[in-house]
Amino acid sequence: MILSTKLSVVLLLSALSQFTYGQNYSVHNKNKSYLSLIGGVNFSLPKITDRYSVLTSNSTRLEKDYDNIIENPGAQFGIRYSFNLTNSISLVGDVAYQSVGFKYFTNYSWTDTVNKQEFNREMHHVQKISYFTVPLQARWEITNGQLKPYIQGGVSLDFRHQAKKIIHYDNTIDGEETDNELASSAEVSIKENTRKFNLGLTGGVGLNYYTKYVTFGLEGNVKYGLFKVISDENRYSDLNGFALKYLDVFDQFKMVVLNVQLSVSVPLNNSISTNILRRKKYYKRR
Amino acid sequence: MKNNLPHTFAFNLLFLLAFGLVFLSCKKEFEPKESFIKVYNDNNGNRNYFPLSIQRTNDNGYLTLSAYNGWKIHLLKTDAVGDMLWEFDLPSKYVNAVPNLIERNGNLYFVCMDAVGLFTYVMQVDENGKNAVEFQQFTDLKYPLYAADAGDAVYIQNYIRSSFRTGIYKISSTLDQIKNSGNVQIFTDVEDKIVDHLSYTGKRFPFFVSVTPEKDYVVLSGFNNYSFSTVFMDANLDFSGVYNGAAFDGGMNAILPLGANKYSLARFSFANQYFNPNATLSPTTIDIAESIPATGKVEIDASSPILIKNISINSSDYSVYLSTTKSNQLLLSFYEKGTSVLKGSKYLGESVPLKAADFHQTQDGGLIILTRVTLMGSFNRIATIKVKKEELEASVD
Repeated sequence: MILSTKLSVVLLLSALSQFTYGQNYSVHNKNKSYLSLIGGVNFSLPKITDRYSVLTSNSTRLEKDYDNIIENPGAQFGIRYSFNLTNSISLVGDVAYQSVGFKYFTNYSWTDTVNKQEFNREMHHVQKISYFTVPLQARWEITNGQLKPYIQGGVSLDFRHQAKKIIHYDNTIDGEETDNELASSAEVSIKENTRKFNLGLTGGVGLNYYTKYVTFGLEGNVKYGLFKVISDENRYSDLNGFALKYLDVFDQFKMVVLNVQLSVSVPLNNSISTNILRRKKYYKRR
Repeated sequence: MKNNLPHTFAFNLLFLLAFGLVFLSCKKEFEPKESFIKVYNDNNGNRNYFPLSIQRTNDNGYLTLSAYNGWKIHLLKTDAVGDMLWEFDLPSKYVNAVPNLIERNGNLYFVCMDAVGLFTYVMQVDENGKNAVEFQQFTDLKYPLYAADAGDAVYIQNYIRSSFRTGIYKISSTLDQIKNSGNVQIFTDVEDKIVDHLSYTGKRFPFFVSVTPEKDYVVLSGFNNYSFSTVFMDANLDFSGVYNGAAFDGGMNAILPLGANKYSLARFSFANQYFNPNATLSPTTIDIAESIPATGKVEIDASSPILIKNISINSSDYSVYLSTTKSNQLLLSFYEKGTSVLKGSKYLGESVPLKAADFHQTQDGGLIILTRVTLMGSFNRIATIKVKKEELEASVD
């Protein structure tokens, strides 16, 4: 098993080296700029800093259980402008629209020993927050072939556009949505519960494949929001009527978002005339 | 190099914008104690709570006094952000706690009744011991109905079952001896109504005692002369005047004496509710409560408690009414003190039944509201709502 894993890694590296070192062209894009379309998926994970609850007790644990990162998918798309300061260093700015989600579940139960009655309520809370994001990053393309791996890092300015929430609930506490007794609240806006602006540190790795006319890219980034996501001032304002009806207020947290996205880029000036791709031999003779 | 200039400028601009936004987002840190909604959980489904009174404690938390499962007594202590610290069920011999919690020298006291002897206890809350202990008992004072703190004295209203009278007792400031007493005649046996009231099995009457700012009259709402009436007693607790209710189906729910014969009051007639935040009452008259001019409040539930308190917002004084609507929301009505001008109102809750119990202004200028909430349509629980100062200011703006 270990042998086969090692073999796979060796094969992968060999294939990559074929692309990176065995290519016919090198890329020369100093002082060139590109415009790109980007789009992909993301997964988010709230990092809880403070816990809050409407229902309080001195004996029972009443904390929310958050879903893991893979169960919090979202998407983003946008445009990208990049300018190459050198053949390997560039500045990259995006304007994108990103939707992130997070889920948690709560449950409560009451037992009536006198009348032999029991009441259980399990609630699955689903939240979506959409942002206009402006990541500003510096990128270092590691090699000079047609297939260029890169690393990048910078900041992301996130402006909240909208935020929504819906609660699915049933009367069986099992951690799952029980279909035959599932009901849902109305989907309501939680804009007033969320902060308008966030600043994130972002960084990632990617791979660009240059052709004469178009560059294709695949990248993955991690963004860590520096500011709190929830508005403390409005936590208990009960703006959406959920606080008492569903015994729900938001915890405070910062958001980590992992995204994977594709890009298609075109040089802003004609790539043939600007001679971005040059044969390696030709380049060496010159 | 020349070609780089526009790009460099653009990126510099964007980074400046970023730092500007970061700077703008660094505003005053919000403190959780400024605003909260807390419901106090009890997994026991057959428990039924009826909150009565709330007071601030020395550690800036709160203590609530409630009835549960009828006339049994429950105490609950919270911290400054409303989270529960401890709760205590009093032994079954102590029943029928009456509003209000009374603060003396940093300690909290309340008045309740002996389950068998029906006489009155003054209980002291022991925050360190997380319980309450007997402080004083008044064996001649049966069926306590309401306790009001006038600072230099505490007044307890009661029912004198042997002579069908409503009694009013002036207790010393130290809560350990009766200084004076008076009574008025009901002329009929109302013990069944009293028992229904204090055991929470029937109609809850808005028994009430207050003292005028001049300390010349004690105003009480209670049974008198075959009716639920508002009676004025002079400083010696002798009868002075009365506004008779419409038998037992009308009268006053709440009165806030403003001084110089002015009162903010709420009166009811059957299911109808009326407010007058600036009524002129004569303490020596004999009149009927329904003759007091007041504005009808069609949305208010007349059978739920109504409280009127003097609250200061932005250095202005208001007579603030806390009431329960027929759709089970809480309604705060802000009247400019000494006028009938409604400066604003604020509804609390909309999807879960709430019932008003008590409220106070907090040290930070906000309001702490004690309410009963019915969870999942079934479970009556104690809840506190902290309204922040800014929300109050917005309500009267």
